[in-house]
Amino acid sequence: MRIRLEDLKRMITIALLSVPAVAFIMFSFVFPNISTPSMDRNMLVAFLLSILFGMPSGYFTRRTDMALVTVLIYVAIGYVLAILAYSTPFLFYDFRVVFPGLYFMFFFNRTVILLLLFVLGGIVGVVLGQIVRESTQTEETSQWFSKERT
Amino acid sequence: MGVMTDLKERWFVTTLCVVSALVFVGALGWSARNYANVIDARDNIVLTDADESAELLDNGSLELAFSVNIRNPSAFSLSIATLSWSVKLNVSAMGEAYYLPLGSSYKGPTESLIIAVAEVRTFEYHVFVSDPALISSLHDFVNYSNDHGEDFTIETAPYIHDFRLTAWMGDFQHDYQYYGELYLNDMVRIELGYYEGEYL
Repeated sequence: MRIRLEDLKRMITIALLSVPAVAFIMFSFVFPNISTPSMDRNMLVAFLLSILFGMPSGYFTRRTDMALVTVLIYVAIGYVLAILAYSTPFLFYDFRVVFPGLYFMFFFNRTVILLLLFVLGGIVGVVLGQIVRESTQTEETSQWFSKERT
Repeated sequence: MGVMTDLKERWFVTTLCVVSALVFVGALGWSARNYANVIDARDNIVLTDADESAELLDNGSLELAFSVNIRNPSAFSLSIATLSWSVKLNVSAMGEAYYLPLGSSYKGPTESLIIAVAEVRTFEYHVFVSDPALISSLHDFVNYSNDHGEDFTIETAPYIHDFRLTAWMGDFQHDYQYYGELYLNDMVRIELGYYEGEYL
């Protein structure tokens, strides 16, 4: 797979559209009682949302391999952002992390299934996004050729 | 075609994506702020100004009193779940500890009591010990202690006040039952206490 700088820009730009959703849902799964809105750890809702937020990658990227890499990029950035949100009291306030070793392990333990689910849902979303794009293009093309030429 | 041109050309889908991204950024920021406030509250909600007193009344009864303030500078109101106070006297001379119970009070979760944001609430307790058997035991304790080198009166005996408070922060859910989820209950629960002159 050959990726040019332009492709990389495209992947990162498209990935940024899905990053906040991934980060929030991860955070919400660790603290369902203090997050707003809360999904209360509903895996089905998380999976459906992961499909929805995988769709932009397929919709805006013609190459499937690039779209799949975009999924990996936004899941990775979203996970890092979720860890930053999880660390808010310690990063932006003067609170001390009690057990640094277990601190990240605790977060990982709560979100590892979700992490895999987001990749899977993202891949399904890519396929759906591409189907929507192709169907839209087909419609646009047929409308274009049906116009009266002057 | 550049990515920005593509996004502009498909402006409707782009707008939907951007709006949803902004909604989730807001939700994440709000939730992270809530989290920081919860951690902050756990440190800053404290008991202060505890005051103990004992007074022998003219009719021979003993009045024991205790008061303490709870200071809530956090961003959340507190719903008191349980509130208990007891006063006793350690009368054990040697070996096994033996306490003489003198009074107690308990409020359970059914009695709703809310401490508002930025409120300082004072809890006051009084008990009148008038049972002749108890008063006699107290006099016996004072006499015995003084025979063994102490210098007590019935008003200066080392009464032990035990105050405990459990409260829930805000309206956060706290009825998780599974072992792996109990940390969610712990996070929004405040437990404070005062025992033998020290804040717990």
